[in-house]
Amino acid sequence: MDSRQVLIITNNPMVKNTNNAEICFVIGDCGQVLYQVFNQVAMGRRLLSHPLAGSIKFEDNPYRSVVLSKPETDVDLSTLAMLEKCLEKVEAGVRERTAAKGGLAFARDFQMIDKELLDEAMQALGERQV
Amino acid sequence: MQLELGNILVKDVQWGSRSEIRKGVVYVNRQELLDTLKDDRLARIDIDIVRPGDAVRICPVKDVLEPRVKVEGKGQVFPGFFGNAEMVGSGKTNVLKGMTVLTVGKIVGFQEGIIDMSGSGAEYTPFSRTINLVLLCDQADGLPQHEHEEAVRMAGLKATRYISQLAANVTPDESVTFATKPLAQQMAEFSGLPKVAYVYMLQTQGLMHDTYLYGLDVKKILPTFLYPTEVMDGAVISGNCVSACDKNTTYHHMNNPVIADLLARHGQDLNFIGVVATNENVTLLDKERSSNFTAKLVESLGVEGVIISEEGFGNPDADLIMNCRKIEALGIKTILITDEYAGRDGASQSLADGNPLANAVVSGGNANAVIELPPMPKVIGYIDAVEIIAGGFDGALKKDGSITVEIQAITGATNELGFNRMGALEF
Repeated sequence: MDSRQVLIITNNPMVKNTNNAEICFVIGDCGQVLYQVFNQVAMGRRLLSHPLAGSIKFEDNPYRSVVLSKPETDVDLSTLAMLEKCLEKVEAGVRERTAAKGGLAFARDFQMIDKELLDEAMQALGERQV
Repeated sequence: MQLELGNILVKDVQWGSRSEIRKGVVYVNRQELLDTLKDDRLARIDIDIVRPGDAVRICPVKDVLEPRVKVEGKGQVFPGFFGNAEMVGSGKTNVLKGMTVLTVGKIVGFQEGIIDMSGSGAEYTPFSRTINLVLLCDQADGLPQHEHEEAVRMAGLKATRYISQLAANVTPDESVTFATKPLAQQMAEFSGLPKVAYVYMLQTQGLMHDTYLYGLDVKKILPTFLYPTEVMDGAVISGNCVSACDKNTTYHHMNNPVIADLLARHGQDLNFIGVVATNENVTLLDKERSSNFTAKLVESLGVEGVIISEEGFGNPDADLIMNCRKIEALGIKTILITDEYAGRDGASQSLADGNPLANAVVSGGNANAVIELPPMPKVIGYIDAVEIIAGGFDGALKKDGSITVEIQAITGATNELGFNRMGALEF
């Protein structure tokens, strides 16, 4: 797959300038990234990577990068339903935020882990046609 | 495939002038072990012995391993890391029961994993009840995190292998034999008993999130079939060091209680056909593909029910539900084992995904539950990480050394194989 055909929505500065893909850089937290993902899926893009990280708490990890396809003609309603569930989890987590200062203190490590997950996704996507 | 596990009950672990086992005591020549572990990527390796009841806190724990050695049969324990990835799971294996090798390494700043050997925190981890040989591994300057993770993982494997070889010629105190047959024969056995398989989900999402099968990174596999006893010989090892409460350490894999309990009831009230190992990937297409293959493989096994265990949380919840939904659609019953992130009061949505077909679910506990840990006179590792790690929060580490954390910071607290110390007394 040509990486230029995808959109990466991210708030991770380490991702901002490192890909050939179209980048939508969000100034805000993971919740803000997911709202932008929701908007783009509602406009017809397909979700290619899962919106949540694996085994890192949403409210502690300040960075998230999500990959979407180019726009299609119809809207994927099942993905919108899934995103609603994810947003519900993220918003519940924000109410009980834990390591806010810690997260900032180790920003580079969080950015690196998010970029690793993105690189895994881009590598997997690069091996196929969409 | 038949495997006899010979348990050598370890009474103590002590430093000695030569490494050997005498009357149930494991003596370790510290310098010889350090020489075995020498690695330019690690600037310092410190080794300590801790025992149940010690006033010691260990953090951040990376992995826990159990010394096992093949005494009869093909292959070597931890195949793929040692030897030529020969098939394991048959013959005889000696186990040093009651001790572990435990690795500590701060690979990223927010890394978690507390084990308290005494006090209130000790109640939440199984490793407060074992004698632990603790390896603290500091990286050389400028070492990339990938390589630090690999160096600590290999140090754990090498130390475990070194200790296990002392057990090769020791007569076990007790032994137990496990056996399952090749598929066609196993299907024909135990007429009238329900046929059951186990879907073993493994965390596989990149740095700090990886698991290895016969040395192969599991994110690169399609779901595959294993005999249950292969896992007991270290076919699955952990490179996963995020989310301490619900990661499966290598020790958990080797002692997988789902496999142990299914084998205990094998031929009694069920027919345990085997294990389907699968992964938890990053992209949605990979998740769809793996769950499609898992369902196909389960269907081809001709079973009536499966147990599915998840590893971790967040996007793996999607894999769990996909596996459940697709297997149930084939008319095969599923039981899921997971844990919950339901907020500190336990009232929030527990998982990031769900489906009405997921109607038989076992929980390992609520990872957001808060606990106070008392001060400990001795700390092995880096306790400053406590305010950073998952489950720690600002002000968590108090001046007197006591800590307020969510139990997700404690290694094994809500384990999703059911290898934990919490349970419901009433509900």
